[in-house]
Amino acid sequence: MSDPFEPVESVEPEVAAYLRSRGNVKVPADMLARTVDRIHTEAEGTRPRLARWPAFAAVAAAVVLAVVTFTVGSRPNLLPDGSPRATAVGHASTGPSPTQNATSAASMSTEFPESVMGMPVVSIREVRSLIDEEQLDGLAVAVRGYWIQPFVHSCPAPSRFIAPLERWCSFDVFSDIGYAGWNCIILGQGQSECHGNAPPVGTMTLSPIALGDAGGMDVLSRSFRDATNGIPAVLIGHAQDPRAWQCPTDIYDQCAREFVVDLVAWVAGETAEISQTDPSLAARMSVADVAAAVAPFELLTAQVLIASEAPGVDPRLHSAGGDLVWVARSISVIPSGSGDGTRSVDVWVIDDATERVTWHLGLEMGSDYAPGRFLAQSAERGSSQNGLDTFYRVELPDGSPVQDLTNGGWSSSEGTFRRRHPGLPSILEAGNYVVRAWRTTYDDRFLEEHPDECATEFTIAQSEEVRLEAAFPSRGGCEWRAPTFE
Amino acid sequence: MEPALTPELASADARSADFEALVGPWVNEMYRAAAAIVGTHEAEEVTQDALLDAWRGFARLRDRERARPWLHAILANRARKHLRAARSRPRLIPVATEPTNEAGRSSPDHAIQFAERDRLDRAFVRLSADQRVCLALHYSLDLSVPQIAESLGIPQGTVKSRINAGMERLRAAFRAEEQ
Repeated sequence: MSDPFEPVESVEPEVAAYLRSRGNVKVPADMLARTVDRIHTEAEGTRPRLARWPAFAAVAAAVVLAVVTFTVGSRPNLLPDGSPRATAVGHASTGPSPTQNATSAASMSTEFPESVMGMPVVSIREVRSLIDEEQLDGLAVAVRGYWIQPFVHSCPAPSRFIAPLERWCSFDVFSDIGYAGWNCIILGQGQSECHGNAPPVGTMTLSPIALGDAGGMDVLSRSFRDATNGIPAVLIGHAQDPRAWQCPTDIYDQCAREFVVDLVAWVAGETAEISQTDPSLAARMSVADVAAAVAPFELLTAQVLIASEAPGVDPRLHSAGGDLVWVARSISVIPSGSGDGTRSVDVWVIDDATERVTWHLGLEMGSDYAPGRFLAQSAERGSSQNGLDTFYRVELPDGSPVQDLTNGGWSSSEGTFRRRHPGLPSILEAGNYVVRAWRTTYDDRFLEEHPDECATEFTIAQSEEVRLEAAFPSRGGCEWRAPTFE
Repeated sequence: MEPALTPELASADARSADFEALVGPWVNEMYRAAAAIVGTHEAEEVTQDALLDAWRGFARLRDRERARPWLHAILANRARKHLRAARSRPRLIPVATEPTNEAGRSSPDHAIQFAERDRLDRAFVRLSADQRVCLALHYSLDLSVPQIAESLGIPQGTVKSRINAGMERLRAAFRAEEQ
């Protein structure tokens, strides 16, 4: 196989001539003149738009100053299980309440920075427009607003694996006007009644998704203790995240439109540091080392992981096994050129032991990217023994590891069979692959030798979903078969 | 006698003239690159959009010596956006036409037969936007790998791998044609 980083040694002259001919065209004589005319016409049209934000801010400020100040008491427990210490009645109000805008004026006193990491800070309206026009594929943008945590009563889990970009138990709002996400009324005798608040009428909002690779969340979390009307913050994020392919196919479009946070870059006057390290993983490299490895690009996120977990950050990555790797995202040091304040984002995988870059690709999915989805599940005779679980590895036909898969943590029983339902799908380019399955304990999952291991070949096409089942009969051994359960 | 310009209008005109002087030498090159990336029929739209982007970002250009790579980057980005937007439209496979040079005459390179060109066109439109951009800058504008890397703000290895990957697919199409 040729080295992808070396130039093609010989190019058929016909192919080279074809490529040259594509640009060997007659340029219209008045090209510049007509372009300049259009520039003048459209530049005139853009001037009022540039002045829109201050006008909007003035109106917003007038609105929020007109209402009375209101503060809420101690914050209820907002854990997803919906079991606050006090009795809580959670429901969203159907409209704006006069009190919820009350202290926005105080929050507005913090001035947002004009730029972060060299990127101009834009409004939520502008970011929503970019998302609507699918202009944030592979591009990051910095946006200002108030992070609002709403009251969450409960969010029962569905009985299937939940993809990272599925909106489950994620109700946070990023708003261009600060407001109280909830109000609580003290009823006495340790009882309180809490209500979630809808955004004030006319508020422009985003619903950001911050996953484990988002930096600066610790600073944001600390700030919530003192917040009643949202935290003024600047987020750097992107849309069209490749993890959208891990969503069920019927909600792919919704997942692709999610605004995914790369970095909470600024929080109420405090600049957040990029510090995404898991202290339980003894990494050799520091965040500064990772920043040096991606130079001259600017580091945006950095997370140390077990190699098999890297596809959870970008499912296009081929990364398997138990070695430590850093998965990082960077932004270009020059603007994307579109004039909308965006920067192109690259994804990196760096081996922690050798400090070698093993993957570097653009975050952009590309116009032709339509991968297949592979799901693995298993059925075993008898009950789970000694904490054994099923593990899977997808490989290329030459044995090169692609990705490791695990079950989704969800199991059910049918007669004497225990069914283990699929976890995160493997996102694969069209082609031929091999999948292996074995049972072992979680700690031994990366050992070379496994009893009961079995393998099978499969082919996947663009946009196809392939699902296979590994069966472990009571006599021992393992065999692959078509799925016997959903 | 013309009315006197207000300082604001005079400043705007001066800025416009400054912009034209800066981009003028590179407009033809931008158009040729656009034609190579998205095709002749859409080259003007992409070039104009890129120049409009450049106008909007003109105030942020600090180093005028880097105008050329700056314009390449803007054009590449605009071409990518154009191709992304085209995803939602029916894909048009360009019909093979005899290539012409700047003088409007037929290309002397008759080694490329129309049938071959059609096959290569079909393979080219299936390349990723990034591969198209790198191939166009390399072969149509004769930019070196380091120049492309500087323009696009990506490592040279990435440029090489995009060129190689794109070339492999074109070569595969060409070889299939030969068989």
